[in-house]
Amino acid sequence: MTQAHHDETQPSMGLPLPHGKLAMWLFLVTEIMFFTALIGVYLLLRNGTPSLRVTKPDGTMEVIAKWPTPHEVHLIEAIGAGNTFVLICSSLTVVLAHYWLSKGDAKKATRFIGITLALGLLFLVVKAYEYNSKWQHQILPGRIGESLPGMPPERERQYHGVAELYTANVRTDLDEIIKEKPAGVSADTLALCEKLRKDMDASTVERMVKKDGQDVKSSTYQRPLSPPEVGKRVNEILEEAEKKGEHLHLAPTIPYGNMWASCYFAMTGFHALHVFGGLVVFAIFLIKGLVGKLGRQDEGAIELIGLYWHFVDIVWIFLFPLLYLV
Amino acid sequence: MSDSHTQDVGAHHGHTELGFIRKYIFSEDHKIIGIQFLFSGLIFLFLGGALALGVRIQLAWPNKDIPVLSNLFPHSWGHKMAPEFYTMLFSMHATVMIFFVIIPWLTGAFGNFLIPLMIGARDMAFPKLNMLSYWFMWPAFIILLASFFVDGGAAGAGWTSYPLLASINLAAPNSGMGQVLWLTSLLFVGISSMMGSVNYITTIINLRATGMTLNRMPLSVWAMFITAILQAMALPVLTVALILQLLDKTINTTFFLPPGGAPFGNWHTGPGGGQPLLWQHLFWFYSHPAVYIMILPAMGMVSDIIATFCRKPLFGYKPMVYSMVGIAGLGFIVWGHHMFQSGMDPRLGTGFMLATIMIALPSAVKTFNWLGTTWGANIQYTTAMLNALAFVSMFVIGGLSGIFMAATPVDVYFHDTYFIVAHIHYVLFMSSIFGIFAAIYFWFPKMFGRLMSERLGKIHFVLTFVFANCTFFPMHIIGIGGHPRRYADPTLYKFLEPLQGLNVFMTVCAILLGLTQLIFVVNFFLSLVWGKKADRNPWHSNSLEWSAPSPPPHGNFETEPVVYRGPYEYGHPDHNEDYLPQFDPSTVGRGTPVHAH
Amino acid sequence: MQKVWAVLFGVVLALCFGLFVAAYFIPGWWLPHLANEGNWGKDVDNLFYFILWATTFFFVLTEVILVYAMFKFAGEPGRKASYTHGNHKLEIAWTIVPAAILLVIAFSQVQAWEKIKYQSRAPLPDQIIEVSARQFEWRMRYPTVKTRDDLVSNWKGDPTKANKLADRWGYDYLADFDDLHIGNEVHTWKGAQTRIYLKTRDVLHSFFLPNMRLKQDAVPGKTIPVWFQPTEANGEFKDGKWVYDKDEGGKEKVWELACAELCGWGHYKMQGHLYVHKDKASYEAWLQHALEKQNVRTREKK
Ligand code: HEA
Ligand code: HEA
Ligand code: CUA
Ligand SMILES: [Cu+2]
Repeated sequence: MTQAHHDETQPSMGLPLPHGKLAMWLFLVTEIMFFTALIGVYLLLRNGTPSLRVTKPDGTMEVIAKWPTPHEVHLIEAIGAGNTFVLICSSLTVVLAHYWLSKGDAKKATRFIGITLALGLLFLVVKAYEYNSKWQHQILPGRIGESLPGMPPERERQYHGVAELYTANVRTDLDEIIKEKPAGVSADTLALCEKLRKDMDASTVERMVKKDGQDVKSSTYQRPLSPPEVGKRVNEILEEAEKKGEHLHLAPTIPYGNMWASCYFAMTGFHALHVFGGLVVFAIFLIKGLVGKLGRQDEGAIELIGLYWHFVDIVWIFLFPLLYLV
Repeated sequence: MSDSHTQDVGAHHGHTELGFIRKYIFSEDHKIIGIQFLFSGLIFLFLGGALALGVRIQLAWPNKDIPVLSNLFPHSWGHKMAPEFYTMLFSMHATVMIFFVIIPWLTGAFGNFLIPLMIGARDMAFPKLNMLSYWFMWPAFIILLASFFVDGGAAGAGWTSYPLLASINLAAPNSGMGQVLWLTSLLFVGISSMMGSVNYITTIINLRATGMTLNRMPLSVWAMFITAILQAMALPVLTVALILQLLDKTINTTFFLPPGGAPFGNWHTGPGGGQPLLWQHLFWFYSHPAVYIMILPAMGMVSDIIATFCRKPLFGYKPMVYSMVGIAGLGFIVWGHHMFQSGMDPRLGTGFMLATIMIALPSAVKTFNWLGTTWGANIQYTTAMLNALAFVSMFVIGGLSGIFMAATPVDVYFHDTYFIVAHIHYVLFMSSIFGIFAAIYFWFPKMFGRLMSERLGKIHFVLTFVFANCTFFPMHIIGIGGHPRRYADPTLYKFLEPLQGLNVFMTVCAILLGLTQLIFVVNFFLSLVWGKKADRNPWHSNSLEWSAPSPPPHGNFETEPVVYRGPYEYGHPDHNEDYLPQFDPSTVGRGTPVHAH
Repeated sequence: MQKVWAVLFGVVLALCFGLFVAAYFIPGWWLPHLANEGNWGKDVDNLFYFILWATTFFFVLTEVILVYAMFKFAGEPGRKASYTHGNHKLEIAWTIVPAAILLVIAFSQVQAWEKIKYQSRAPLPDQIIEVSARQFEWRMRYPTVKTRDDLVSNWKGDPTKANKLADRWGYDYLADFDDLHIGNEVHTWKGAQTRIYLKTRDVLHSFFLPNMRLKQDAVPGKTIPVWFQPTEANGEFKDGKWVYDKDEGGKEKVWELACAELCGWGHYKMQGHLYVHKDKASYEAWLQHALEKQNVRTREKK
C-alpha cells in the first residue's frame, strides 16, 4: 500500500500514526501510571486505617475515629462539583477549537482556545480558594491533632508524643489570637479561647470556703487539660466560630486528619500542576491566534494538547468522587 | 494515510556546518548522545568502584588504622571509618552503580547508539527530546556529587531508602540534607529515562527501514524496546514514591509515618497515620522491573555478539523474543519477593513466590538458547566474545542463587545476608557489566572508527574474570554462614568469626579487581587515538549498523538501507562467505521484502 | 591455542564449585548450628538442600555444556559452522523439564512457609516475650511466672482463650507491674513454644536468630507475632550464673541475635544473645534472679 509520491521501494514500516501522536499516547501511559500510583496510595492508606471503636459504659459501641468525612475537613461538595463541570466544559471547548482549526477557521479556533484557557484558570482559582480555606482552618499536614477523649489507653499512649506536639501548637496559636485579637472574631469566641488557654496550664485555684462558719482561703491544685481534652475544647470553639461565620487560625482535632490532608494536597496538587502545564500551552496558542499566526499547521499540536487535556480532565473525574463524595 | 511521519526521517542535513558545541556538547545526534552517556557512565563507574573499595576495606579491617586512608578521616572519628560513613559508602555505591552507570550505559549509551543504526533510521524520532534526556542527567550528576559535601554526608539509608530511617531527618546523620538530595537526584534520573523510553518506543515502532519487520529486528533492538516499555510503565511509580518521601521530609506529610509518629531520643515526630511498608511496595514495584531493565539490554547485545562470533544463526530467535517478553511481563508481579520478611501478609508471599520461581523459566529458555548457539559453532575468541560468554556463565550463577531467595522459607534465613550481595553482584557486575564490556569492545570500532587493542582487552578480561569471581563467589559462603549485609563491623559476632578470613581475601581481590579496570581505561583511551583503523564491518557481522561507515556520519547511512533478511544468517550453506548481512541484496536466504501495510 | 579459553572458564568455574564443596567441610563456613531441629528449622534446611541439589544440577549441566562447546567448537579458519535456526523438540524439552522442577520447588515450600508465618498456624505458646527494638538495642519484656501461667498455661484446655490472652498481653500492653524489663537477652527453654511480640519504637529493624533460621522485620506501628521452638539447649542457669554448654569441638554454644534490617549507623551493633535453658526450672530460676535484681535496682534508685 505504498503511495504514489513515495519512492516505490520505501514503504514505511511504522504504524499509520504520526510520531507526535504516538509519543503523546506513550506519555499518557506514563501519566496514567503516575496517577494510578497516587490514587492507589490514597486507597491503600484510606482502607488501611481502621475505624476506632470504643464501648461506652452502657454497652453500646461508638466510633470515635474513622477516615474524615468531607464535612469534617471543610470540603464543600458543591464547589468540587462545579469545578468538575468547569473542566468538562473546557474539554468540550478544546475539541471545538480543534474542529474549527481543521475547518480552517483560525478565528473561531482562537476564541475556543481562549475559552478553554479561561475555564482552566477558573478551575485553578476555585482550587486556590479551597486551599486557602484549608490554610485558614489549619487543615495542613503535620498540624492537626488526632487524639480524642475516649480512645483506648494503648492508643493514647501511642499518640502521646504527637498529642504533646499538638497542644504546643494550640498554645502558640491561642497566644497569638489572644494577643492580636484578629478582626472578625467576636468577643465571645475570644473569651472561650482565653479560658481554654488558662485551663491548659496547671494552676492553683484559690477559693473561699467556709470553715467553722468563717470564710477561709483555700487553694486547690487544678491539673492541666489532657491533650484529648484540649482537642475536644478546640473543636467546640471552632464549631461555635463556624456557626458565627468567623475564621479562627486554630488547628482542629480530626482523627486521621493529617493523613487526609497529605493525600488531598498531594493528589489535587499534582493535578493542579498538570492543569497549569496545559494552560501554559493554551496561552501560547492563544497568543499565536491573537497575532494571527494560528493555522492548519497547528492542527496536530492542538489535537495533542487536546488529548492531554482530556486526560487531565479524566484524572479529575476520578479525584472528585474519591475525595469529595466517598 | 498521513505522511507526516516520513518527512523528518528524510531530513538529511550536511554534517559539517555544525559548530563544536552543537556537534559534541548540545548534540542532537543519537550517536553523540550515546557516547556522552558512555563517557559519563565510565566516570561514575570509577566513583562507584572507589566507594565499593572503601566498603571492602572497612569490612576486612574494621576500625583499624589503615595507612593513607585513615589520614583522610577526621580527628573526631579517631582516624577511623565511622559507621555512618560506612552506611553512606554502600548506599551511594549502589546508587551510583545502578542509576548512574548500568542504566545510563545500557539504555542511554547503547540504546541511543544502536537503535537507529540497527533499524536503519537516520536518527531518533525526537532528536531534541533525546538531547534533553541527556541534559536532564546533569542536574542529577551535580546534585549527587554535591550531596557528598552537605552536612551529615550523602544518603546512608541503603539504595532502597526505607522509611523511617530515610524519611525522618533525625534517624541518621545522613538522613537530612543528604537524603533530600538523593531523592531529588533520582527524580531527575527518572525524568531523563522516561523521555528516553518514549523516544525509543516511538523510534522502533515508526522508523524502521524498508523490510525491517519486527521479526527481523536484532535482539538488541527487541531488548531495548521491551526495556523502554518497562521503564515507561515502572518509572512513574518510582517518581511518585520519591515525591511522597520528599514531601514527608519537607512539608510534614505522613505517607510513610505510622500512626502516632515515632520518638527519636527526646524528639518526637509529628502525628502519623501512614504506612512504612507502602514505600517498599512502591519502591519495589519500580525496582524489581528495574533489575530487568538492567539485564535485558545486556542479554540482547550478548545474543548478537554470540551469534556473530559463533558464525552461526542464533538458536531459537522467536523463543528468545518471547522469553524477554515473558521476563518483562512476569517482572511486574514479583516485586513482593523483596518483602517476604517485611511484615507483609504472608499469604501474599506465597503468590509472589510462585511468580518469582516461574520467572526462571524464560531465563532458562534464554540460557539454553545461548548454549544451543555455541553448539556446532566456529567460535572466534575475540575480547567481545569472551566477555559475552562470561556473561552467560555468570548469569547462570547469579540466576540460580535467585532461586534460593525466591523460596520463601529459605529466604527467611537468607534475607539481608551476604547471599543476596553475592546474587546482586553476579547478576549486576558479572552479568550486566560483562555484557557492557562485550558491547564496548564490539561496537567501539563503529563508535570511534578504531579498534580496541585485543591484547590489552584479553588481559583485562582474564584478570577481571578471575578477580571478580574471587571477590564475589565467597560472598555465597559467608551468606550461608549468616553474615548480615550492611554491617560496618562483623567482628563483634562470634558466629561470624570463622568468616572474617574470607572477608580479607575478598577485599584483596576487590582491590586487584579495581586496579584491573585501569587496564580497560588505558585501552579505551589509547585506542581512541592510536587504535587500528576499523573498516565498515570489522567483525563480518550482519546487522544494519555495519553497512554504515565507521564512525557513521550525521544521518548515518549514505543510501536508504533496505533489509532483505533476518540478522542472524551466518554460515548459510548456499553462500560462499560465512555471513550474509541483512542489507546484502543477493537472493540467497532472502525472504520477500515485507511491507508493513 | 583457542582452546585455552575453554580451559580458563573450566578452571574458574571448577574452583568456584570446589569452594562450595569445601565450605561444607570447613567448620564455621556453612549454615550455623541448627537448634530448631524438630520444628520448622529442619524444613528450611531441607528445602535449602533440595534447591541446592536442583541448582547444582543445572549449574553443572549448563556450565559443562558451555565449556565443552567452547573447547570443541573453538574456531578454525576455513571451517563453516553448522547452519540451524533452532530445534522445536529441544526447545520444548528444555522448557518442560525446568518447568516441572520449578513447580516442584514452588509447591514443596508452601507448607513450610505456612508453618513459619501464618498467624492462624501459630502454635499455642508456652513462653511469651515482647521484643521492642530501638536504635540500637533490643528491649525485652518478660511476664512473671505467675502472669504467664495466668495468661497461657491455665488456659491449656481452651486454646482460643489462651491465644487471645497472650495476644492481649503482647499487642495491647496488658502490662503487669511486675514484668521483667531487660535488654538484648532472649531467654526460653528447650522445647518451649516461644512466641515473640515484635515491635519497634523508631525505624525498621529485623529480628534475626541464625540458629533458629528465624528472621522477621519489626515495622513501626505494627506488632508482629513470631514463634519458634528450640529443640536444643545451649546452657543452664546454675548458682546465679549462666553456664554455657559445650559443643563437640569443646567450644561454648554462644547463640546470637542480630539485627538484619538497616537501621542506622549502629545497625551492626544491635547484638543480642539467645539463651535456651535446659529446662523450665532453669529458666524460672533465671527469671526469679533477674526480677530480684531489677527490683533491687529500682529500690536503690529511690
Ligand atoms: C540484573 C539484576 C537482577 C536479575 C536479573 C535478578 C534475577 C533474579 N532475582 Fe534478584 N535481585 C537483584 C538483581 C537481580 N535479580 C538485586 C539488585 C537484588 C537486591 C536488592 C536489594 O535488596 O538491595 C535482588 C534480590 C532478589 C531477591 C530478594 C532477596 C531478599 O532480599 O530477601 C530475590 C528473591 O526472590 C531475587 C530473586 C531473583 C530471581 C528468581 C531472579 C531470576 O530472574 C533469575 C532467573 C535465572 C536463572 C534461574 C538462571 C538460568 C536458568 C537455568 C540455568 C535454568 C534452570 C534453572 C532452574 C530450573 C532453577 N532477587
Ligand atoms: C551495577 C552494580 C554494582 C557493581 C558494578 C558493584 C561493584 C562492586 N561492589 Fe557492589 N553493590 C551493588 C551494586 C554493584 N556493586 C548494590 C546494588 C549493593 C547493595 C547496596 C545496599 O545494600 O544498599 C552493593 C553492595 C556491595 C557490598 C555490600 C555492602 C554491605 O552490605 O555492607 C559490597 C561489599 O563488598 C560491594 C562490593 C563491590 C565491589 C568490590 C565491586 C567491584 O566490582 C568494584 C570494582 C571497582 C571498579 C570497577 C572501579 C575501579 C576503581 C578504582 C581502581 C579506584 C580508582 C579511584 C579513583 C578514580 C578515585 N557492593
Ligand atoms: Cu536494628 Cu539494624
Ligand atoms: Cu527482585
